[in-house]
Amino acid sequence: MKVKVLAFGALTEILDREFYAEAEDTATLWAKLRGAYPALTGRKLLVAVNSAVVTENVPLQENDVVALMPPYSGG
Amino acid sequence: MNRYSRHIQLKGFGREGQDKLLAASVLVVGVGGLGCPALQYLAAAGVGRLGVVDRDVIELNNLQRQVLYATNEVGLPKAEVAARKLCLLNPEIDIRYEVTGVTTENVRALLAPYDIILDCTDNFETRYLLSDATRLLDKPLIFGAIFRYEGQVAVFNVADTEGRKTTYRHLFPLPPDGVDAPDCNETGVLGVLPGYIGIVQATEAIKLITGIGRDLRNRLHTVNLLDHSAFQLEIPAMISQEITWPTTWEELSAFDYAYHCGVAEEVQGVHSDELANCLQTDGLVVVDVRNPDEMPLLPFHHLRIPLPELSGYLDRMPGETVLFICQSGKRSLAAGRLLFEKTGRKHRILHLEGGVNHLEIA
Repeated sequence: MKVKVLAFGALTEILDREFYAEAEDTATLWAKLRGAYPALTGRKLLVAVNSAVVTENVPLQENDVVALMPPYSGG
Repeated sequence: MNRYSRHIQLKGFGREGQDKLLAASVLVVGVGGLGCPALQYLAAAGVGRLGVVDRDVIELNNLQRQVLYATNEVGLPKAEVAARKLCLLNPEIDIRYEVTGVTTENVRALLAPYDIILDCTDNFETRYLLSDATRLLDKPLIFGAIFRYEGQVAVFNVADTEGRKTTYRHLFPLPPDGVDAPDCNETGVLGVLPGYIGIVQATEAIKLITGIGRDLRNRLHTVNLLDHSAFQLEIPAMISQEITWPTTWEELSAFDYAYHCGVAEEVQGVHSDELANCLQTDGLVVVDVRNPDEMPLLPFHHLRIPLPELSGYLDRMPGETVLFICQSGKRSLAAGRLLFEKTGRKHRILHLEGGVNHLEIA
């Protein structure tokens, strides 16, 4: 499945803010990105598919939008 | 009521909305970039009782974004200066302040007198503490956080029409490692960004109090000021992984947020002055890693596992907290690191700095 990925916060130091990727599900997508960008390893972030935070691995459909968002601490 | 006439004449708000604000109370934790603008607008709007909590003093590099403070106030406590300015802005409301950090000891007493809590802090320790405490108190928490040009806002602990409530842990169950999430001091921040996000937090407080519009309960609102892109995420009332978090006041008061948030060192040093106190810790196991012939014996209950044999015991080390002791403090630190490498943050790991040589018994 070809999906659009949006990266936020400090993740944009590693990933483009917006790019396309091929993956069957969110876990595969994350594993692929981690393989390509080792700096992502161990990062804590939330994954959202089509604007809903997901709490487990979910299958992806063509043209889904996946958001990867780390926590911000500044105040 | 001339002060609030523009609210009172506002369609959909009116005298009723203003009366609700005057009867409400809001605590703002952290009077930095987020807290300053949030407080200014809440005070101006006539929220009847405002609480201001911050432990820090004003620094020159704060003035780029912390708009309540003046150059000649550098070095003064933020909470006190903020409260004074807010009283000048609106002397008709009740404004109280405390120059203190929020801790597991004081959090319940600090938060309990208020209807709504604003998280305007700048660190994960306090964010997780506020999230857990407001959940126990069942009080609305309006969360705001910033990074460079981007901001996040959400409303926690407010039930939607189906009764679902969420907390910060529903977004991020566990804190990131320290290097993962640098703060403004390390990365810089566009000065207007906290102004923008702090005002969104104040807006959500006013909406919750008056019942107007649709607030951000169970939703995370994010913005990027560079292109004004905004993005909203639905937060499910479900946590993605098995985590340990305080679900009673007893658990919360015993919870080590600094350690939980990776702020504490992997192996914390205990000074000889602190040892007597440290030995009172519940669930403490003391391990003497000196060789069997080394003297003097420790005059308190302990295990004796010489460092060369320690690796065989790491997996079955008892104790929530493990304190390693040796003669000079070198082997005890090495032992702590060995345990951390093997078991991560399963135990809280301590070692006695300076070792037995620094104790009266030596």
